[in-house]
Amino acid sequence: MLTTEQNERLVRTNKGTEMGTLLRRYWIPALLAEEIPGPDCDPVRVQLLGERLIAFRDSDGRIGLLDEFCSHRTASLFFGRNEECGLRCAYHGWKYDVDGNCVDMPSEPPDSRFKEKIRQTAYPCVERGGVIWAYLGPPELKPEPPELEWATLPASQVFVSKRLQETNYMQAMEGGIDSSHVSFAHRFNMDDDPMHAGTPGLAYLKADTRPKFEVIESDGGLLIGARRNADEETYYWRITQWIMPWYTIIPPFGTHNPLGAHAWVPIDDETCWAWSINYHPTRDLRADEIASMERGEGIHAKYIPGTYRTLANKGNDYLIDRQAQRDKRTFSGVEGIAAQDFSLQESMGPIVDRTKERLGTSDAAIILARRRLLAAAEDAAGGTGPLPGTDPEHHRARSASVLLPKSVPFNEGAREALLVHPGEEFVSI
Amino acid sequence: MAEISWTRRSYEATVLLIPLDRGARAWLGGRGGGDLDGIRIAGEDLLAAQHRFRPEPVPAAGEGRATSGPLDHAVHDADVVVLFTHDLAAVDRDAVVQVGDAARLSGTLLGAVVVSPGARWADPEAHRSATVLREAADNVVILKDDRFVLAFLQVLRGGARDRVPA
Repeated sequence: MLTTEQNERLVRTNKGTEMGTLLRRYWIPALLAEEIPGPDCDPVRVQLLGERLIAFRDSDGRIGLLDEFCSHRTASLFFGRNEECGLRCAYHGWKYDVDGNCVDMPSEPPDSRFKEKIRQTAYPCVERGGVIWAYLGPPELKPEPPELEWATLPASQVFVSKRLQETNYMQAMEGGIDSSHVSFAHRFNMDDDPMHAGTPGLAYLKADTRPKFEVIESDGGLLIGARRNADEETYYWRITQWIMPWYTIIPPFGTHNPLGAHAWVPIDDETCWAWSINYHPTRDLRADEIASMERGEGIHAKYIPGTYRTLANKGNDYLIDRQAQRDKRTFSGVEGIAAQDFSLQESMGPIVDRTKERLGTSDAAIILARRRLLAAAEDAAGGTGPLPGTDPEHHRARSASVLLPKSVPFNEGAREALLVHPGEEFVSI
Repeated sequence: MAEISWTRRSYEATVLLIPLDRGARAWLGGRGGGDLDGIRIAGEDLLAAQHRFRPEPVPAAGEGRATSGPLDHAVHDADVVVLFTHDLAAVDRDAVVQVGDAARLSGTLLGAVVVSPGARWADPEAHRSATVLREAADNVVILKDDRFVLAFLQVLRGGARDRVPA
């Protein structure tokens, strides 16, 4: 549980809030690269941490991320003309380059220098892993670009999707670090998931449905180990990485299946983007794998065509199928692993009241993630020092699933498996 | 057991904290200002009394002991028991096993908080203690330092309050 005041500190991310100040110190997954596919493409609206922005690529392919509303009369630049290396407001023609400089002001006399005094808010962006990342914080504190393994691989080895989730980012992320829900919410669907198929790990998972958890503070976040009895001498460990402020890497099943990862990014205080990533460090994704991901299977979701809103959503009770629930084809009646998660998370309300919850020992990772974020927010408010999760070394992490002797701590036994070794296979059974 | 209020907002767990080494006891002794409000702390005498009691081993069939000792009663009266150590190499492992048995028999949640495990990790005693803790507890939390210990305990305690350590 948290107090009301602590909960407010954790969930509010607009400019000037404590958590908003913290999150602006990180590179933010802002939009898919496919949303602004090429030079002079249509500008698109982007909302991050409550800020309404507009993204575009200029004629040279450079990425711009500007305040959505024109500095002149605050009309939306969504209606702007993206042409000749800038975005021109459709109202009075003021034109901005990707750095926010006003490069043309046709509504004023031609010899006026007024335009030199105008600066549209503009944020730096980088493109990596099929994602446009933005930095919304103080320029002098900008960290190195993200080095998460999936963000550094060739496009042929990565599949990224995003979906709108109608909750605060924090309760969505808490679902990602809450390993104990897997045995319930997804109970009847582990066999169907193509990413779990044909692995001894799945057999261990099903043989021991009461895992025990160990949580270890890492430099960049948390290591969350779920262990099950494999035999008399060994445990089967599934190790999740939580990397601050909002990334998780899901423990894999076998090395023939891709790895999975997530990020949860606030749109505003009541909605977030749930990013889902599959990647394989040593091979291209196969056509059948990509087809499955595009169909919204596994950790991805089915969309309402032409949107990033999910087909199953709170407006249709997530297409719940009570017969499937009775027949034990799904535990909650909702189809699909992603929808099973977000239906339950959204059922808690857009911002969960954490003063009402009763947490037990199996919720240790959630308790510690909140505390680390609150502590980092205090650090960010009071200083300019490095924050956990900003060092690229913190990003170079992998999840793993391993068999270890019972006497060996998982962070010791899997030490090398939990680091990225570029071009090398990950460790998983 | 703690008296249960059926208003969820006011439910509060009885947390029994068992320091397992001298450093942990000293750290707890240094807390003040209400930091440990609502947390029961097992004194050294509890484990000593349990050692004197020499309980019968728990039968493999899990039917429980024929008799119960002071530790069994203390664990039974708690909703959550937390083992706490600052020094794995100095942990009383017999006590850990006994607390684990008592928790299992009474259905009480058992967590373990280990602070600064690297401090004496080279000592084989630390490895043995880690193994025993892992076997006994439902959940093990390993922290770099002590700054989240109080907050963790207070969250397990639950209940409606205006202040929880950050």
